This record gives sequence, structure tokens and C-alpha cells, in this order.
Amino acid sequence: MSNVADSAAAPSGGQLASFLGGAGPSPPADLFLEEELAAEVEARGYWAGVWLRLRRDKLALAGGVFIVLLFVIAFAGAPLAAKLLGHGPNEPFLVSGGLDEDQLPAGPWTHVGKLTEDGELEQQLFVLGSDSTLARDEFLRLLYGAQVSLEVGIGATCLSLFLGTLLGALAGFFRGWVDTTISRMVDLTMAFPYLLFVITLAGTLGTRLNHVTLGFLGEGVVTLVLVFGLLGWFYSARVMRSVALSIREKEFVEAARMVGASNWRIVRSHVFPHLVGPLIVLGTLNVAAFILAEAGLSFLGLGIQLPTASWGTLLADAPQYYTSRPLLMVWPGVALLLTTLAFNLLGDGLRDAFDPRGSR
Amino acid sequence: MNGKRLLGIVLAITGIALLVAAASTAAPTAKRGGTIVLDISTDVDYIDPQLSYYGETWKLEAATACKLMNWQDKEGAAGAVATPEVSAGLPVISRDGKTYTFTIKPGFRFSNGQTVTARSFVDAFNRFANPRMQSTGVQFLDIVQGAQAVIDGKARTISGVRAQGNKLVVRLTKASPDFLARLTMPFMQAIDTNLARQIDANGINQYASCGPYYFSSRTPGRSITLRRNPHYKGGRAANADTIQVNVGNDIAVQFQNVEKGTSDYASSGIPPTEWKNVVGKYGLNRKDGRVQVRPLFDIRYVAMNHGRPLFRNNPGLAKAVNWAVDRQAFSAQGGYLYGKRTGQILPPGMVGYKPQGLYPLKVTANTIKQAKKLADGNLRGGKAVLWSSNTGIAPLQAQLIQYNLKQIGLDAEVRLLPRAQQFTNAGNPETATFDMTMERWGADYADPYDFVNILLDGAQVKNPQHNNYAYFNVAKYNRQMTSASLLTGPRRGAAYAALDGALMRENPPWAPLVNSNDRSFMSARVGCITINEAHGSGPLLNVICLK
Amino acid sequence: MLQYLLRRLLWAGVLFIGVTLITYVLFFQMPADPARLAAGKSATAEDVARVSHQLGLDRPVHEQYALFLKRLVVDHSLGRSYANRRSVNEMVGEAVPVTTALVLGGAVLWMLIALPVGILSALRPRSLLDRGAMIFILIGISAPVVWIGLLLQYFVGFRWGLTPNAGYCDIISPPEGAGCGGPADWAYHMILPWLTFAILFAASYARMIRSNVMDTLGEDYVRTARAKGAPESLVVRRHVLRNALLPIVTMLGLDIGVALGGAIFTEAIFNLPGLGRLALNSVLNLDLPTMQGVIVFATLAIILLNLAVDLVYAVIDPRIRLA
Repeated sequence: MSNVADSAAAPSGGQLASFLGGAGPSPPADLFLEEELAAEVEARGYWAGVWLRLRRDKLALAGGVFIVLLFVIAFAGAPLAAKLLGHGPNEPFLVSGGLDEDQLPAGPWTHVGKLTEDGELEQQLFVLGSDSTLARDEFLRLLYGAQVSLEVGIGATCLSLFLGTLLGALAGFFRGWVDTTISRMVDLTMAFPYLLFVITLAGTLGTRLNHVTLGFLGEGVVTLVLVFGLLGWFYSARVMRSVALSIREKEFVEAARMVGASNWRIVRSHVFPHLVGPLIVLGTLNVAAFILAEAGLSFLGLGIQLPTASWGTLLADAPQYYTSRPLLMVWPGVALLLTTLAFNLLGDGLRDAFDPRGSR
Repeated sequence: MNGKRLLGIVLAITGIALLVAAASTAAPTAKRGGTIVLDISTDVDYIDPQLSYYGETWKLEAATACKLMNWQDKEGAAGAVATPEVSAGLPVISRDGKTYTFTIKPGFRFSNGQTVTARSFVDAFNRFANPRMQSTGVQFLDIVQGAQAVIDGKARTISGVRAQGNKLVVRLTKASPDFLARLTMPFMQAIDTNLARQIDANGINQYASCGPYYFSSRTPGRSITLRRNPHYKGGRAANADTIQVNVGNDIAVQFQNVEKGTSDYASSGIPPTEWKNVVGKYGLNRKDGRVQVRPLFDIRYVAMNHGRPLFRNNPGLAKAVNWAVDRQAFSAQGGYLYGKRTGQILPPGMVGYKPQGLYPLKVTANTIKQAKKLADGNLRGGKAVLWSSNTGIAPLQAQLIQYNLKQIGLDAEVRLLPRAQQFTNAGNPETATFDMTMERWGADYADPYDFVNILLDGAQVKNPQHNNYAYFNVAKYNRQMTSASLLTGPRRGAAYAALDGALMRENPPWAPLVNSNDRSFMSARVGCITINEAHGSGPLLNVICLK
Repeated sequence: MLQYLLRRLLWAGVLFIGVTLITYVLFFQMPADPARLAAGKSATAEDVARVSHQLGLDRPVHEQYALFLKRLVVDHSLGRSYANRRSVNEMVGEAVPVTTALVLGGAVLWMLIALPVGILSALRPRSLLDRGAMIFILIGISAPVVWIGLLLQYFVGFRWGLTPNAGYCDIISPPEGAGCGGPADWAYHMILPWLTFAILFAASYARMIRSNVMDTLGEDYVRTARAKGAPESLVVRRHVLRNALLPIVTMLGLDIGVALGGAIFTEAIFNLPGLGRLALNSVLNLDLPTMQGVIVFATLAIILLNLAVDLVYAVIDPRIRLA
């Protein structure tokens, strides 16, 4: 997923993989086990320690704050802004100021006129100007684009983590044929030319799924969540498997087994708690990767469907206005950069917080 | 732009002469030599003469082909008349109008040195009709005697096309005034004996041709190279040594290349917003100027599918759509000088054109009110599927129409398709699963028949490949179209004008939007710019030269 | 050793079958109607039925797949494109050198950046250099590749006119009449694509190298070597770098394998006629055989490079042979 940027499947390469470090010297999953086990006795102390360490990491905190703000802006701010400004993100203002006298998208801070029922032109504000020659509000489209990014990022992360955790934990805990089957599936998935698969799936599956919105999602979100989730589960499966494997050998599991606890009970009360740390870290970094992936696919015209705004489609439209409106290329790019940066910073911080012995 | 519709731009457009202020042709200071570089964004389908059917290829073949009849390398009226090229003078036509006898002018030779003979044209007809070539253009042979038998695989050669010494005799099944115009199509250019033997439905990418240039190489998806035909003595210009076509750069890059002078002609156009800018910088239609704009006999429209429940017998909604679409905004997507807004079927300058003034060319509060009123009660569930091409400004235009439809309560789902897929699927009743599709039609020749009958006659809607995207099939209008097509002189014009008005007023099959222009942007280093829409859009490639 | 080799080979074969089977089922069963796509323009219902029969689409899936495998293995044929009837082998063959040039050149570039940055910042943690490197890494990892590409194209290519905006030149034997060709032109046109493609990898590799080197610095044998009084440069060279960089080599092999399947974004932005653009165009045209062809090639590349990495490792690290 990491390199969705260009070769999404990279078995290593990008942030996700380098975090998981398949061949790296210190698979973090194993690293913090000792620490965690020691803290097992005093669960509250453990979490307090994590929080304490995270609080000291100013960059990670800044990332966290940015993410919270982004959520607020995307899901509360966007509708609110639309209400205040008086128009929606898909409304064109072509004949009333959305294009300047050279037929170019209006620049930042332009007032446009909205045709009202009684034929009056009501003055409204385009904070960042028009998005294209369709003269829609770039500012609002950016805000609504954040919704799409977060929906895809979070949705795909949840799906891939769910699948990965389930399969990885099962494999690590039950061993035997379950492990063999699941591990082989992981190997198989990793031999897939990932990005090629994503674009072909988005191109074929997309035509059927794009219009499923469940009433609140953007068109195309469901497709991307499914494609990313179904193809992205193997990283988390690997981590979970190795965590579960090492836990399985610990004495407290033996003990639980001896007193006759069922498998399910052991998994629930002894295995899953140890997965939480790596899960959170992995999830946070995953979101960044999926957001980049969404933008990339939308840029290629295979992601979010028109007219729904996405940072990727905004970016795809921008080169048309290269010479005259270079700012149009800047906004969506900066929005993407800041968002992925925030998730990456938070993810890094969380990892360090969960794993104080890490070398970073 | 797609092949079929492109014909319109490519074929004889006699009327266009009247619209274009005739600029002088071939500059006296024409310099020979050098390489002219062109950019096109999507590769052509074939360069094989009997298969290629894209406007872009025909533009290139205008420089490589020699034909019995051809357009002259001139602007205006002079360029819009099919004139004898390899034929020595006009053919002798039999009294019943069915037999044409051409005399082959001596001196034409292929780029490999072979001589062009009557046989070269017979070969072209036979190769064209050969079923193993699977050419999509064979419909144009329908009037040639014996062609159908070859197409059906029942005969090996067309019985109606024969070479007798330096004479070529063609027999038709019926008198056809447009036969000479059809001969200007690249399908019917002379081919040498090597090509005649190569029957391959995948197309040949290198062959000798008899025009001023020939295709010296093609790398699909990458480039096409034309070189001057060393044996050419036909009198048409051949100024540059080489014409190099680079494939694949999008229009933003093409624009930058032409601005920088690394390319000479942005053949796929430039970003719409740049037109105003370049016209301001370099002026419009100056002699050998960098920006040239010519009107086309063409129309962009939204076809409303009368074969599906939404628009079947629902003229109220069709009218509402015509009131709702924002033609000004639609046109704005194409940038400066994109075209002229329209609310009717026939384009200005066409026989039968009369301003009908039925629908607003500009949206106001009143027009929206009127549109809503008309739509009220006719929405039938309020859902529609709108097809559009996925390239260039088409997605923006589709989103605009989508928004306009939403204003009258129609929820349109936009499906973006590759252009070729869009019109082939739309023209096939088996696959036409749209309620509305955004189309473009360019006239094949300047006659209303080519707009009204070809696009709206209901007789064809069951064919697997037709052009009646509105699936418009109303007995009354079918009859009126047929009777109008039989008229001549002023009565013909009047009949079509009446039909245009009646259709749009009573039962609009389309929402007509814009009659568009041909806009060319060239580098500072080229001169000798001559544009003849009959040959294809943009400057004639054999004439263009380095300054 | 032989047994290990055989096992890996066998597994590679299984992987190949697995991936192609899944691809086949997904692509030829899912789209609405592959026969209609193949039948092309002006197809009637009968035409579609006939083509469907010709392609064997009316047979059970497993038979279809067996047929596909047979064509692939026996005839080495990937079929013909639905879009332009060209042979898919030919199209893939034309695209492979372009993508290879992009990926290998990019890999050299990213290693040239990542190695010094990663090593130096690990040796001097919290120095100015280290902090600069961290910023580079964070931005490199977070910035969208398409955006970087567009910015480079706009500033370097267009505003400053230092490099071409887009396009590709052949390094050897350019097609006749091509506007450019030869190593110099080739490299000149590849500067921006290489940069665009390399930035993300440079950042993540720098990060990986930095953390590996730092981890190794803390190992006991390094401390021992230092305690023995070995000169720092020798310690770094002999103990630290060798152990820290070994895993990087593996990863490089895997990443290159995956990237050979098409660096889609870079190719799309800079109009490079590589596998990525071929795949993208075929997806947009629903040209199934071409899509399938690119995926088959990419899978092969991944599997072979995986195999190569395995073998190299078996040679370097004897423990693996026993495993």
C-alpha cells in the first residue's frame, strides 16, 4: 500500500512496509511484547505510559490535533461553510462571475452572483475562487474532498485491519493447516502486481459499484474501500500472526489453557489485548497510504465519480490551468500533503510511544 | 473526434466557402526542407488506407494519398469543390448516370517508383471490399455494382470496377450525384501492387503511396513519420522534408511544446482557457498567423433516447431539457471561439437554415422557471443515465448538463466512456442503455439530408450501427424527411427549414447546444498556412513550411 | 541447497498459477460482456454469440482458463487486443524497455540519495544533517507522487525550460524519423520521471537505512569491536554497514520487481509509453487481453525477482538452507 504512490504493492519500500520491516532487523511487532507483558499486570500503567510518551512528542501531537481538526472541518465545517456561503460544492457559477473576463476560473476571494427565483443576482463569496471552467467553489470542493479522503482512508483501513487481524491472529494462534492456508494466501497476495490490480478492479468493478453510496458516502467510495481493503489486508495479517505466535508461547497462555479456558476465551482475553498497540499504529499509517491511493486513482479517473469532489480529481483538473491559475495545482496538493503528513507523524509518534525501546 | 462524424468535417463542405473570408493560399516565399512536428494526444486506429477512419489519419492521408478526385490545396470556395487529380479531367458519365469512365493522367508514381495506373484504383476498391479486411467504411460502396457480393464473400473482385488500359470504368447501381465526392475519401486512393496483396485486418503500417508524401514509419502509440515522395510529380506542394507526428502528449503539454517551438502544431487543440490568451498575443486569422479559426458545419447536442421509457412519447420533458440546458456555460467549457450556441438542428449556412429562436441561448431566472413548468409531471421517476466521452472537456460539460437537469428535478447519473465505445454502443440498439448521450456530428457534405435524414430517420433505429442516437422514430416525421429529401432548389430548403422548426417545437429529439469551430494553434517557425476543412481540420500538412 | 532451490521453484510456479487464475476469473467473468467488447463495432446479437463461442466464453471457467494457460505456455501468446487487434505480446514487448529504464534508473537514483542520507544521519543522530534528513523523509513519504510530478513538470520543464515536459526517446535504435534518440536524449527526457519516481523510495529507503544502521550500532558485536579499540571507520565499514545493508538489498530486489509492473503515475504524467500507461489505457478501453497481458508480465517479474532474492540469500546466509 505504501507505494501506492507508484508501485503500491511494494513488499517493502514505503512507510507501511518500512514500519513493518519484512526483512528489516527489528520487526516492531516482536519488540514491544516484552514491554507489554511486563505491563500486563498493570494495564492502566501501561496505557498511562503510552500517553505520557506520546505527549512528549510534539510533532505527533500536532499531527493528532490536525487530524481531529480535519474531521471537524470535513464533516461539520463543510456543510456549515456551504450554508454560510449560500451554495453547494457542485453548483456552477458560469455566467455570474465564476469565470473572469478572459473566461478563466475566477481567482481567490471573488464575489459571484447566484440567480434567485425572482431573477435577482445574489452576491456570494468564492473564498479560493473557481475550481475549473465549470466555476464551482474551489474552497468548498476542497472541504468536501476531505470527506471523501477520510471516508476512503478510514473505511479501507477498517476493512483491511479487520480482515488482516482476524486472519493473522487465527493463523498465529491455531497454527497447523489454518496457518498454512492463511500464510500461503498472504504470499499469494504479495506476489500480485498490486497497483495494476487496483486500477483494473477499480475500472471493472467500479462500473457496478460506483453508485452504491449507502446514502451518505460519495460515489465511488464503496468501490475504493472494497478494492483497497480486500487487497491491503496482508500487512496487518503478517503483523498479527507474528504477535499471536509469540504470545502463544507465553506462560500465561499455557496457564490459561491448563485451567481449561476455551480457545476463544484465550484469544479474546489474552491475545487481542496485545494486538491493540500494533493495530493502532498500523491503522494510522494505513490511513495515510489509502488517502494517497485514493487521490492517485481519482487523478487517473478511476476513483471517485463526478461530480463528487476529491482532492485527486481537483489535482487532475489543475494542469489545464497551468499558465494562468497555478494556484489550482497548489491547494489540493497541499491539502493532501498536510493530511498524509499528519497521519504519518501521528503513526510514528504512536509507534515510539508503544515501543519505547525502538531506536528512533 | 471520431471517424464517422469526422467525415463531416472532412468531406466536401461546399458552403463553408461562403463563411470564410478567403485568405490567400500558398505563400510565394514557401521554403522547402526541414521537419514539421505535430502533436496528437491519442493514437490513430490505423494508417492503412482501406481501414483508417479517424479524422486525424485522414488529415495525414490528405498529404500521402493520390485520388481520382480530390480537394485542391486552397481555402474557401476553390478548395471545396471535388476536382480531378489522377483523373485526366472530369470522367465521362453515361446518359443514365450509372457508368463513369475515368482516364488516368500519366506521371503519377508511388514512393517506391511504381507507376499509378487504372489498376491501382481497381486494387483499392477490391481491397476495401475484401471481407478479410473487415473495413468499417464499406457502407460507402453501397452504390458500386458488385461490391456487395465481395463484401458478403460471394465474389473475389467487384464486377462494377474495371481497368481497361489507362481507363477506369465504374458502374453504379443507381445514379448518384455524390459519387465523385465519395471518391475523395482516402479509402479509394490508389494503392501499389504490394499493398494490394497484403490483406490483413490488423492494418499495414508501412506502404508506398502516390501523394506528395508517404508514411515512412509508424510505431503505434508513439510516432508516425511522413517523408516526401521522391517520385511525386503531381503538382501539389510538398514543402517540408519530413512530417513527424508525436503521439500521446496531453493538450497541456502540446500547448507548451508549441509555445516553446519544440512542436509546430497542437493537432489535438490546446487547453480551452488558453485560446483567449493566444488570440490576444498572436491575433486571429492573420496571414500565416499562429491562430486560425474556421467555422465548421457541425453540431454538438444531447440526444434524448426515445426508445427508453423516460423520453418515449414525452415531448414535455424533451422541451424542458431544451429550456434547462445552459448553452452559454456549455460553450464556455471549450474556451474562446469554441463555437456558436444553437437551439435547432441545422447549422448556420446550411440549406434550409432559418433561425428558429425556439429555445434560450442564455439562462435566466425565467428560463429556469419555464423549464421547471414543462418538466412538471413529466419526470417519470426523475432518474436518467447520461453518457459522455471521458476525454478533454467532455466530463466538465457532462457535469454541467447533469447540474442543469438536476434543476428541473431530473437526477442524471453520468457515465464516462471512451469516445469510440460511447458512439458504437450508443448506435447499437443492443447496447444503448442511456437516456441521454452527448454527441457531435459533422456534416459529410453540405446538405440538410446529412443532418436530418441521417441522424433522425426512424427507419434505421434497428440497425446495429446507426447514427440516430435519439432512437427517434415517428412515422409522421419519417414521411416528411423522405419527401423533403426528394425536393430540389428553394423548395428543398423550405421543406427542411419547416421540418427543423416542427421537430424542435413539437417533439425535440435533441437538445442542440453549439455549432463548433475548427481552431488551430501553430508555432512561430511555420508559415504557408492553408486550411481546407474538406481535407481535415488544421493546416494542410503538405503545404505548411518552415519560415 | 538443491532441495531448497527446487522448493522455491515449485512455489514460484504455484504462485504464477494462482495469480493468473484469479486474474483470469476476475477479468473475464466480471465485466458485463467480454464477447461484446471483442466483437467490436456494429456487432449484432448473432455476432456476439459467434464471438463468444470463438473465445470459448460459453464454456466452463476452468476449461477457459486451461485454454488460456495452454496458449500462454505452449504458444507464448497473450492474445490480441480488443481495441486495435494488435498482438499483446508485441505491445508488452514495446513497453517493457521503457518501464525498465524508468525503474532501474529510478532505483539507482534513489539509492544514491538514500544511502548517504540514511547512513550519515544515523551516524550523527540529532545533528543538523539528521534533522534535515528527517524532514526530507517525512515530506518524501507524505507527498503525493502525482503532485510532485506535476510540480516538477511545471517548474523545471515549463517555467525554467531546463528539461523536456514529457515524452520518451529510445536509447538505442530509435524509430526512423523520431525527433530524438540516443543515450543523451534518452537521459535528458528521463530526468524528471526518474526524480518523480525516486523521491518516495529515496525517502523510505533513507529511513530504513537510518534505522537499520542505528540498530546495528547498538549491537553487542559492534560494542565489542569498539572496546577492542578498532578504528571507528573500520567498525562502521566492516561491522555496521555490512549487517545493516544486507536486508536493504533484499528489499531493493522486491521493490524493483513490483515496480516493473508499471510505474503508472509517473508514466501517465510524463507520457512514457511503458507498461503502466499500457495498463491504464487498456483499463479505460476495457481491453481485457491487454490488461491480462500486462498483469501476467508483472507477476512474472515479481516472482522471478523474488526467486533471485531467495537464491542470493541462500548463497549469502547458509542458515536459510537449513530452514
